[in-house]
Amino acid sequence: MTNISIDHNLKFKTATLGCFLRLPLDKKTLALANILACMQGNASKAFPGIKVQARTFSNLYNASLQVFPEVFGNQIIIFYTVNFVEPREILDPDYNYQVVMDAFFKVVKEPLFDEQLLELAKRQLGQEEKQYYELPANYALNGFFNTWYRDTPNYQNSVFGDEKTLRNISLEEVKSFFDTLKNAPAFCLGQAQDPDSLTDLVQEQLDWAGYFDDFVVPTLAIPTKEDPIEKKIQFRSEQAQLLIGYGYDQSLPVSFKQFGGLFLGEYLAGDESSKLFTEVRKKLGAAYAIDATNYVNNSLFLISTGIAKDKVAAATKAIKGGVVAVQNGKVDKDVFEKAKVALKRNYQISADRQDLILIQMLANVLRGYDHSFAERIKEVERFKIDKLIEFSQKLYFNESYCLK
Amino acid sequence: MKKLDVTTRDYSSGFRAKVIRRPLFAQKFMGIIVDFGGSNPQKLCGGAHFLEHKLFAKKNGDISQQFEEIGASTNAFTTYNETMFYASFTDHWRQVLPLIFELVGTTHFTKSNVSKEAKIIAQELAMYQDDPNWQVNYELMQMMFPKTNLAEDLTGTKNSLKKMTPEILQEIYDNNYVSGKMEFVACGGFSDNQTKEILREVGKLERKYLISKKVKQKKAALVNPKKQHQTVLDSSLTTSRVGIGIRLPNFEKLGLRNSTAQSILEMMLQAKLGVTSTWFEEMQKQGVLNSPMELQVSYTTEGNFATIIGVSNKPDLFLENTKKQLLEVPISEEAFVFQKKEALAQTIREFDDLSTIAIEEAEYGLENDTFNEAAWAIQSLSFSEFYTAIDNILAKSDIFTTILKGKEEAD
Repeated sequence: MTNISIDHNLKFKTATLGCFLRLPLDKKTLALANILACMQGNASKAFPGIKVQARTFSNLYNASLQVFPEVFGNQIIIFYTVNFVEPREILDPDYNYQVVMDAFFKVVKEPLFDEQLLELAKRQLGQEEKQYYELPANYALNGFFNTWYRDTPNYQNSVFGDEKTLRNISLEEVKSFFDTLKNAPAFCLGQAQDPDSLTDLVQEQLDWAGYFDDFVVPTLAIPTKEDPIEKKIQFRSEQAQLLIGYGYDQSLPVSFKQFGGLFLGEYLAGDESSKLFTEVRKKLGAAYAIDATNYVNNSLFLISTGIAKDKVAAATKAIKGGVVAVQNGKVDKDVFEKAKVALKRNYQISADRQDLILIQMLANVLRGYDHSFAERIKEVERFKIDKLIEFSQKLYFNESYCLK
Repeated sequence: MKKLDVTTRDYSSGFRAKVIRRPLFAQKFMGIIVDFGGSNPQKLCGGAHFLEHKLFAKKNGDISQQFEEIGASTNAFTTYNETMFYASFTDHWRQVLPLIFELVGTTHFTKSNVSKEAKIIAQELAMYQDDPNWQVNYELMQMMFPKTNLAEDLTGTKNSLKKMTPEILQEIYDNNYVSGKMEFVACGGFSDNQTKEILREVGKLERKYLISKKVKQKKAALVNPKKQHQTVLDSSLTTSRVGIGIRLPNFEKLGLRNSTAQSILEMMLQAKLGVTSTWFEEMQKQGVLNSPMELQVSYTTEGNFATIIGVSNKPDLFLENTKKQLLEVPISEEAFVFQKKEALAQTIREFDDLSTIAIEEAEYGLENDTFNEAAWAIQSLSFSEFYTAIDNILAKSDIFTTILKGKEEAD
């Protein structure tokens, strides 16, 4: 059976479709995926120039084409997505699913392998990379992850991939990489007002072996080794960037890791009444924003903030103290209940966003289960304070990274 | 083209309310927009934004927590001429509605809470300043609108933040937060009966919380730009950031609605400099540009402007080519048709983003305009009207440039 699933779009004025190709993560593959994606995003055999390809999609009522790789734990997923206005919304007899799909699959399946295009992709990625790291928050996040994976370099530089490959790759290597993609496990997902017609059109195009392969990854999460480290890096900026990371056992049940981390993140740094928002922003006046994110695929719970340079020590103490309090069972019931309500609301509103629906579909096929937003809301409702404490007790401090 | 389903009611105080119905969506949105923002005349620059932060403080604590208790998330933002307070939620709209009015309609400024907030806002400003594009934008605004609030960041300056007091905040509030300068908007899957109920309740709440006063916005005298039209600064960047600022004329004096003129200029910039243009492809081939630029058009009561920010390791060539393309190369009818299609698609897409559409409808309201009318104005535009409008605007525009020099060029 072909790996394809297109849901019925009942409320959105746009349809969306994505082809997702999965590859094991290593730095070189990620760099190759970035180069190929950049080239395909610019031009293709059928549309052999940036202007030609951009105009083709602009003419399809500004259909939004995106090609990029993203890292999910130990895997790279190459995204080929197109979001376009539902033809029923526009009275144009020449605009229909067929014309959009024809253009989209020409980009996906027929790249243009051209030296000039490769050189442009190298320049573009080189510049994007420089611009990305000019922002202190991005520089610090990358530095944090490179330290976190200091013993497993293949997991480092997880945005752009291997720098040497990005600079020196040949056209032959890109071609050969593209050929291997045809056998990579792949899945096509989408949402449309007429899912049957769109499925029929897409099905014809899915002739690569990967679309018949198993897409599920039983263990997506990368294990973390307990090896605490503290790093301070000099950087010219107005604010300091402080990142404090906690590791946890990768083999914990997925649902426990996912909802435990989600609750802890919301409890510590969600809405206004969350613990660290109150401590670090309101009491210390040290930061404008503070985030706590559960990187379930990295077995990492990360707290990060851009902060006044003279408040780093006080903020570090507040952050670590906040986590320890939960570990010691000191949970503010009122804040916990607010976090629960906020998480429920976030899931309910997620169903109003087509991009998040597509991501949820992808997460489900990647993990091999079928969790709708409604089921996730039920999980949130069932989650109790003792589970939050239990999750926090699985955390161990593993890294502090400060850019100052 | 399908129209946005909006019910509007005007109250005798000058207050206006709008309910936008978007069935099947779980999210609901309610907000109040104030016709007063960071570039309007005020005692201290950054005052409007400071007020936005501090209105959440009430006698019995931070009002956000009351929103949280009923599952709503609340926030606010300040632009050049507007401040907006809003909540996003799924249930309990009857409880959210009075909270929005309490948020905007009551104050609690103390020495202690103002000085604490100044530190937080100083960090917000620092966060923006760490983005190299901030510096480019700042330089351009300093040249185009010197010594005005437009030339400073909306959050203020380190100095103005230190000088803020409860008295100044109260004065700014009293002068600007009056019913004639505010508008309410709700968006979501509300039924007809709910719409009527909302509008009825809004009537009661605006009488309870808002000062009934029709105030004419004080207009700042238009300042002359600096004589200096270009700056070149050293930086620690690898590749140069290049900015072009276009000081634009008053659109209404040219017979154009602000929203229409803004859309026309955005279409022009995309057609001339965007990824679908021949020019952009040529610049890429020459290695002058690699990635698309940031293109933005703004209209304010203190002056209109457009900014173009790009990254290039050939900044002088970039500036020369961009200016030439802007001023000398005409737009083809084909490019205009493309841009109209893109604008139509953009309008349709916005229907699915409840927060964006509610905010836009509220913003249009302050201009006595509507989302539907603004969209129709663009879709009914002819090529000759488009062309003439651009000619008239560019003839009265003034160009400023700035370069943050990267190391690649310095070497």
